[in-house]
Amino acid sequence: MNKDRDKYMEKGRGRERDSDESEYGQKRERFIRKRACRFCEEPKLTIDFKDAKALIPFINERGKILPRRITNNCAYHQRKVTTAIKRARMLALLPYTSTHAR
Amino acid sequence: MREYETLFVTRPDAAESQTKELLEKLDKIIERHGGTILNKKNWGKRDLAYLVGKYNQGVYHYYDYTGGSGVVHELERALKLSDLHLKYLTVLRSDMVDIEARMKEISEEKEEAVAEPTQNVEESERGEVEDE
Repeated sequence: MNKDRDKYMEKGRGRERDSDESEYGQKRERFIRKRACRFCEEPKLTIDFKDAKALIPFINERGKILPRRITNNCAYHQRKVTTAIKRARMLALLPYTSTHAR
Repeated sequence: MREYETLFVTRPDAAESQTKELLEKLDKIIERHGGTILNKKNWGKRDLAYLVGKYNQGVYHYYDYTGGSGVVHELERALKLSDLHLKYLTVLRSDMVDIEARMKEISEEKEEAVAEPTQNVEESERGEVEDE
């Protein structure tokens, strides 16, 4: 679990980890708040299957849809992103998989 | 009246006259069903994300229109019958559409798009990708 979290931190996702030395010299980690959903924060951002470029941050190199754990989207917007990606795939705007010969 | 949007891809090697004929046919279908075309756009030739048949490129056409449910059926039938299409997808945008209000919205959007420099169509689809 910790390993996973460290991985995010490295990539600059999530908030900086707050650790401090307690009087006993032990390292303690504070609760890390999850970053808010970017679509909730910025209502101007739209999710549209036609705008494939905007969907690229939500897929990985293999073309897989990234989980909420990584995208930090709320459930509602993650659902929208998922359908948009699937629609874009149908129209060959996004790949189903990267292993296809191009 | 419902608002639909259809995005379809035609063969890149199709003759221009053939494509034009198809588009005119689609216009007529929408008209026949008492619908209005709100927006129509040719995205031009683009790279496909994967091979469709033997093609790695396609010409994208976008339609935004109103009509009853029958219009989609017939439009998609016309697309299927034409041997030009590679892919098509119709999405329902809203159940009740105020045509004038939508028209206004779309023209405003267009103005905005003109004000901002338009994105390069030919640019590769695969940009930066976040890791797993």
